[in-house]
Amino acid sequence: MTTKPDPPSTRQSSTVVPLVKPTCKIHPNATVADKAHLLGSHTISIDSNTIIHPQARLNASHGNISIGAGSIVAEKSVVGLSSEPDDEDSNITIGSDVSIESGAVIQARKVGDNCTLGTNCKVGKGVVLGKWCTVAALCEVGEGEVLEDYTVVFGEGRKGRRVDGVVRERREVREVRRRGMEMEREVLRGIVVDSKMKWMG
Amino acid sequence: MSVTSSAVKGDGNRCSRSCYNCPSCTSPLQITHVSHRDEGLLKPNDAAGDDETYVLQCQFCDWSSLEIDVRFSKPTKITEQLAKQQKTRTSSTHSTTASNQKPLDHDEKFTNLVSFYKDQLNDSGDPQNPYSNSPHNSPANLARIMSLYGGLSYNALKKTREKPQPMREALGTPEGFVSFHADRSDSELIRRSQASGWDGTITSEQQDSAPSNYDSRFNGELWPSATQLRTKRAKRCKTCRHIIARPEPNVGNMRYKIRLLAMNYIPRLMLKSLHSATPLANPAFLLKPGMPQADDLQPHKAQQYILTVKNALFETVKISLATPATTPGKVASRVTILCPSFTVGPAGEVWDEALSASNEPNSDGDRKAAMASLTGSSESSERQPEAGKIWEKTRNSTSIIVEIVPGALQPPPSIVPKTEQQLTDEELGEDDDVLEVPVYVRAEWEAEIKPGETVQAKKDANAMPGEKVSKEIGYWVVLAAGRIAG
Ligand SMILES: [Zn+2]
Ligand SMILES: [Zn+2]
Repeated sequence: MTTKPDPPSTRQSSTVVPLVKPTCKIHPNATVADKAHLLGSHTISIDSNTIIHPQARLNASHGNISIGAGSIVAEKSVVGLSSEPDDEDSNITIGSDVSIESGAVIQARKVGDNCTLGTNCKVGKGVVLGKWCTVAALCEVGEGEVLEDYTVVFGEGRKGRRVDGVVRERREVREVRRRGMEMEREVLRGIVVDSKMKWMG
Repeated sequence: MSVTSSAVKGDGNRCSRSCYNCPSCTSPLQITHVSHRDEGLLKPNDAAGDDETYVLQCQFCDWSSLEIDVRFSKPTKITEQLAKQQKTRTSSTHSTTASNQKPLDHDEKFTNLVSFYKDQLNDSGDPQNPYSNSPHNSPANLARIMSLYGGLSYNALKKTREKPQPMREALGTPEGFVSFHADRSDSELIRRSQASGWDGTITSEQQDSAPSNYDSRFNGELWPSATQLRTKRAKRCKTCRHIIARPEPNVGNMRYKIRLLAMNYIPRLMLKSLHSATPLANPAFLLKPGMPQADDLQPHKAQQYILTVKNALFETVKISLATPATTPGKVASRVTILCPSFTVGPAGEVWDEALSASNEPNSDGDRKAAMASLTGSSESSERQPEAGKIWEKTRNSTSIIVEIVPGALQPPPSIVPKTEQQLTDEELGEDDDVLEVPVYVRAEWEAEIKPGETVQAKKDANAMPGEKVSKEIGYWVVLAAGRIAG
């Protein structure tokens, strides 16, 4: 037993329940779980069909967050700047059909449509991701990186990035992915109990 | 899947079934179904792709065999299908560029070479005789021997003389010989790398992933690499030959999950004799029967043992122990746990443990222990175990006393002659003389819910992060004390 299961610092910070409630603009078709954490003083907007899991954290302490239609933000993931931004552009814009998987930490400025941000991945401040980008599980995108459409991040450095020709060239592959998202949303709507009114009020 | 070592010698060290790794990132590839409808979307009149609806897909980096335009008609025998497609692919490029004499790929070159040198070996005389310059093989000697037997014409003699030619080396492509020549493909390569740039090329690790990728240079040219076989490495106990550690290839299976839980959650129990002069070497391995160190136990003589429960959790746990009054099995021994319920402090970092080891005896609760450690162990051995009292306590372990009265191996003599059945019942099998005590351990503790932790139990569903929930585990262990003297 050499490691503690949880460093004390994170435990402390999360037990402090924030008193400030963000301004929330949530589409009537969106699903926001009761135990999702929406915090900060800025605006959080969530578009139609988007699903926010329980224990997902949207932190609008340092800027607005907008999440496009049909996206999924999974449990234990964190969207939002952790500290004061370096420049004035402190907003986070996430496109539609974006899948943010569990434990992902997203501080990017812009995430294009149909991106997949894998389990426990980290996307740094000021990052701009194009359409159909994939950040594989546990991979990191450093601060300020700009990735073109269809980029796959699967390792470190330039050789850990690759443009996915299959997704770019083949409409049927994109269609399969789209349908996968659709099915996932359908399942989730049956599981995640919506309580967006809690955040709207 | 395990492969026998003889199969490895024959087929090489890669899986010949359907296991493939991603050439881009090395994670295992999954066979994924692509539905017909999607195919129709893109290519309505693509006849070839009609029945080929499976692809190899990487779950990590999204690489798929579509990148090299490979699809499979069935999800089995991937190796066979892949080899077939690779062959048609290379042969088709050969036919189109036949005039340019495109170099053969490594496999073909190698087979050509092998067949050429086999022929050469056959031609150059007796293949059983490795000493090709032995006197009997030299033409002069042969001629002498032949002339001894006589009757051969000069021409025939000449023929036999010519027959054992010295081995020659391969010449030309059909014999597997390829010379370097700067051909068009080099300038083609340069042109392509100019177009694609550094990012379009693949790394040497990716090239080395499989023999089929040795010649690949650009993204989109990588073939899946057959999974390399691995040896199973297990560790056995030196004393009892039980397997102690075995790497688990399938981390998703239930047994592994149970073991993982056991490793991180279950309080560890150790048993040692109270009066034993020599402490038992490694308690973890002594839970098994057949330990050489322990002296044989005398029947009907009460023995006292220290049972130490060590906590692996970061919370204080409440332990309740239960054991049958007499051990099951042929030889019934009486067991009494003097203090069946107690608490064990939380575990901490290794560093804490090191610090507390020096501090602990000075705390006022343990003055006795401190005295004992100062004056030697003689005093502590004089201490009398009391019912309901804890024997010793450290930060994350608590020791209590267990009293065991070993049963007798020989049944009491009886006046009534025993029946055949009774006699066979009384006969002891191997290891029946080992005194083993089954103990039921129940641990209860209050755990704090960490933010983001999913709570399984229904009644805890409303608990918020930071709140406490009570958790418990219960399990049986078997403690072995030693062999009973016969
Ligand atoms: Zn295999
Ligand atoms: Zn991969």
